[in-house]
Amino acid sequence: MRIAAFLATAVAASTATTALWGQEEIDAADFAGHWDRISPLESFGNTPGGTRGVELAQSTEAPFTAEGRARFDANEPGYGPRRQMERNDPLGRCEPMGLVRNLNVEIVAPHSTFEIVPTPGRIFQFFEYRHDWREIWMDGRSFPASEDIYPKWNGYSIGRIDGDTLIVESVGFDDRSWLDKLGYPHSEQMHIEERYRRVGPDRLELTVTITDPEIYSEPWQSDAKRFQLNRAKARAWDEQIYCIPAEETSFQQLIGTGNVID
Amino acid sequence: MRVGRKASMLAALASVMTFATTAWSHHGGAIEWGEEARGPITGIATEFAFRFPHVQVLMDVVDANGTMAQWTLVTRWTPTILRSHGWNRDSITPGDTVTATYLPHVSSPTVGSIVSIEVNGEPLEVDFSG
Repeated sequence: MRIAAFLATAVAASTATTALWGQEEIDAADFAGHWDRISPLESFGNTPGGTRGVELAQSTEAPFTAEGRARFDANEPGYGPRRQMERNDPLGRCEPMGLVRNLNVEIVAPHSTFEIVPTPGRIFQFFEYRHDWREIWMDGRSFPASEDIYPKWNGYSIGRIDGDTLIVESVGFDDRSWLDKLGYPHSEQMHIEERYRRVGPDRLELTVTITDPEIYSEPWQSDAKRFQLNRAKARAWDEQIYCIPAEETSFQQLIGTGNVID
Repeated sequence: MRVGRKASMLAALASVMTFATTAWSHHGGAIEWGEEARGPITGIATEFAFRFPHVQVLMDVVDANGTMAQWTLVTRWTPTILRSHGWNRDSITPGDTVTATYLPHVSSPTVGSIVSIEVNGEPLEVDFSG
């Protein structure tokens, strides 16, 4: 019995060591750095039209409620199987993308998807595209009382380290943002759980689970999004990709009609 | 506000998008390119906008029939990325001779995404994706 317990402990320790890529312990500092997305999906999940040049396993549609389906139908994307010229993607108007779309944005290296900056009691996550950012409180606090939550684009986030994983929970979202470029909606009641896991010295894996009973009939988990650490970025000037409405509109007119620079 | 387009644009899109395309989905729509490079084309630069979101080159191009058309070429990368690879706001000036290969826009026949570019015979680097 004692031997079995010892073996079980040894196996568990071995697994943990493998998961922590040789480290005995892990903390918020182990997630620091500039991370470039390397996985192919630019959508929240493996839904129809989510790939970029890479064929994945068969896609599946989101578990919509009736309200969710109606909201999805009202969103008119410019990309994917529902793309159309008459569109209402908030991104095209330089509106904030919201937390989930910040994590799903198309940007690839040499652009940085995001930088994680741990500080005592709080992690900052800077998104390069649109130069947006969010805070993740790591000081053990709880969410504000529901009557004190006012919907925000990136919500309210609290995090903790569990084994080799940084777990971040968020609530309180402005429901005008889309989850991704395909027009998947969410409500103000959306709850997000992000699980960041270091799967190698320069690799990070993220899965996101959305619980939003108004829009989705069951919790909906994203594909596993993979990121590579960009060590060179740590010494480089930031890029500052803002969305300037005048420049964005001018660019879209230029492309759409050809040959117009305002 | 809705980003609307004319019905004719929709028809043009439908008629042209029979070839494989790749999209820049960070613009909310309509920034979509054929995947097969065309050109080279050569023209005389008339304007160079070294600004976000993508650098833009306007140039006059005379085709084989002697007809002149104004073309717009855009870079895949932002001015910040290009700046770190040797570009600056004076990389192209009006009157320069520009030769480029490009990915064609799905519905605007004189718009392209630059694949390679030479200015007065000197190449400018554009591919940093590794």
